[in-house]
Amino acid sequence: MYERFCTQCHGPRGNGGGEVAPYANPRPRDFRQGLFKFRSTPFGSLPTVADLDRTVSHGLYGTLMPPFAAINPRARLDVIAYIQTFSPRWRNEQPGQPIAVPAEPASTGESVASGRTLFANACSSCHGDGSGNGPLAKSLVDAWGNPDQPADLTRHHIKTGVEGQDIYLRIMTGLNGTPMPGFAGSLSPDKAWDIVHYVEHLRRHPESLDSIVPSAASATPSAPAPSDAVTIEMVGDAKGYRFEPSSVTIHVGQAVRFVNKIGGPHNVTFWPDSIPSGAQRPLQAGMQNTSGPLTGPLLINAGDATTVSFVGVAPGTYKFYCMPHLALGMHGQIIVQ
Amino acid sequence: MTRLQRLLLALTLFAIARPAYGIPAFARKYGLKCSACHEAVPLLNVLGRAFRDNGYRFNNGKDDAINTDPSYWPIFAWVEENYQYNYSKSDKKTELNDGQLSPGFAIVGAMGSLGEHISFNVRPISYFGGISFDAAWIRYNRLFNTDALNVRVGQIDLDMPIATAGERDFTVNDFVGNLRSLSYTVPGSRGFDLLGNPLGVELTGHDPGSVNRYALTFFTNSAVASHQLWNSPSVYGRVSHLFQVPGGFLRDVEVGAFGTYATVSLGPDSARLKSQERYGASLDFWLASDALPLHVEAIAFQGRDDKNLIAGATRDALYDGGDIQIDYVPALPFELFARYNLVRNVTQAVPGQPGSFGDQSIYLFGIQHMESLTSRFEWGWQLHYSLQYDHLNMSVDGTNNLQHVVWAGLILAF
Repeated sequence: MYERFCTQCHGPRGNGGGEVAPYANPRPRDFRQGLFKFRSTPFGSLPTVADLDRTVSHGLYGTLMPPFAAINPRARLDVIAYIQTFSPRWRNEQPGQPIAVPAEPASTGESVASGRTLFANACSSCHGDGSGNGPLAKSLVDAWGNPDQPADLTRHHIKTGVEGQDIYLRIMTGLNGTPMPGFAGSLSPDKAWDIVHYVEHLRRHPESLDSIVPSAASATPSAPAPSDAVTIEMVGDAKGYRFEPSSVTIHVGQAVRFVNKIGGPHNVTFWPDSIPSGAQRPLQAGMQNTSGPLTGPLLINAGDATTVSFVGVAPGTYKFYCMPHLALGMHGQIIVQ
Repeated sequence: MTRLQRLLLALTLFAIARPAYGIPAFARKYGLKCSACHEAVPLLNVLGRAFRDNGYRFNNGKDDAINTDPSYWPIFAWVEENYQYNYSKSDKKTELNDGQLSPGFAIVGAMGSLGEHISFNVRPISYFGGISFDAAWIRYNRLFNTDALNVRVGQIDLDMPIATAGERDFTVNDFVGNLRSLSYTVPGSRGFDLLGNPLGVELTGHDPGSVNRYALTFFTNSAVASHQLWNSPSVYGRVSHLFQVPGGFLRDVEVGAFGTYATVSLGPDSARLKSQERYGASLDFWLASDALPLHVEAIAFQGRDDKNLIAGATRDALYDGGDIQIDYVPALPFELFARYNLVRNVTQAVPGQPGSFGDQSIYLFGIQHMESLTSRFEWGWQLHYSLQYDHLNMSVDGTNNLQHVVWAGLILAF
């Protein structure tokens, strides 16, 4: 089945290097990393088989991925099983637990206004006014080094569907391998639905947006940091995107407090292959409100903060980056002695 | 058979036959292999049938020319050459024993969609230096924004059972006729060919995945002379349902029923409209694997021609027809195929004719290789053998007639 339907784009070895790949925009998925954009599972985790079957069945609107819903479901599962052989992640990990989609509350003027404020703080640096024209838009790249243009949310179709729950899942799970983070650890379901309502409003009534008054943004209270915590500020301004300072030295048991100073949303994500062996579990335990493996919450508003505790970790160097701004060189390191 | 007879036979067969291949323009447009939509070219698989039913659209935002690469044009071309060896023998003597290289044919066509609602196909065919239209239609998709109603107008292919919809061999000139019982002509009657791409208006509808489908076509009978085109109102219909089996060796099953009531005008008033009817059912099932399927299609039908269409007849001609076709893909891009067609006359229109007069049995076996070298070019070859046995074939010398054909062809598609 893979040879019949998939090799022309995804290549016989699943590397996304099929014959028509150079002409495809976006480029076909490289299956070898086990990174899948469209899932119901938390950011960074593997998708469920149902997630993959949804993509295979419905296709991805606006791309070369057509809908294969007509094919016998058994055949689609055969293809998915074969795709899972391309990445060792499928042998070593289980898919994440799907994020539940609560019942959609009614869309009101208030929810749209709240969504607009949240959108301005959390989304506009990439999505701009909704049409994908944010200041970072042209600089974004995906995990494969390809330019990654933010979605134009004012269009009547987006890749995975235009239902509210589709948009909700994209917000909460993010898109693995892209600068689009998952907001599950940083947004409550109500606030996520507010953004959904705003995006739906963008698409249906763009002319009425001027009449919507954004509600005031405020920093989300976070748990107090230990008194000996070291602070790293997250900054995005005319000088660029960076952690200040970008390198700190601490002791085992100490904590680091990351504060969104300007230019958010920011987050902190540790590279799992650049931390000492065996440190992943205690480090994960020391992070607050994670939205995926070694992935901290998105800090949307200025003043939002999150603390990472280094209790029980092994000494060594811990390299980290800001997921939305990695392509802009926003990364740093913590040396634990 | 004299040279003149051979030439007339060849010209007749060229005129009635039609090709059916994969459309390389679609492979280019969507970046897919031919095998994505074809079990084996030209036989459509379930995805290809759903694509066709949607007006040759995937509805994935890449259907419209404005959303495709500027280098894409909905134009395609086929070029074919073949060699054919014929051995024909009646009860009394050998009628034909020779082989020849066909001058082949070329088709340059345009097929695709314009916007959400309009699809089109213009397919002129060139052979022997002449040009005719194999198909030329325009289709309005999703009338009233529902898949349940689509309208197609022009010279169209009737919605036949799956394996019947595409001719099984590469050539436009099945030398022994169409090798299809559905194209059978009652001796002495007007030829009526359900595979003849008549002029008409077609209404079709389907649900997602084309599980349930219908087609209703109002057309002019291809058996009548051109000046009578609009005096021979005819109708064809077909319904089908696809079962997708959840487990086991059996994968999919499709059942269908079809029928046509065609008329021929023998005079200036409607009272002189005489009918030709065909009613039948089809059963398709797929075994083993969706990737390398074993596809079996069985068709059974009954035909009736009005006695007024048959010289010397005192009653309507009635016959049973059918075929069983097997298509098997042992490994891409190879295909093995076999077909058995039969026609058995039930009621002879002319009294005194033997009961088996005009009966027909046709066996066909072959192998095909069709491969995409790039998304812009495919090539293939086919080798097949057919054996046709005509009972009391009056076209030769009034005795039984046996014809062997070995056919080898090469096609290039762009």
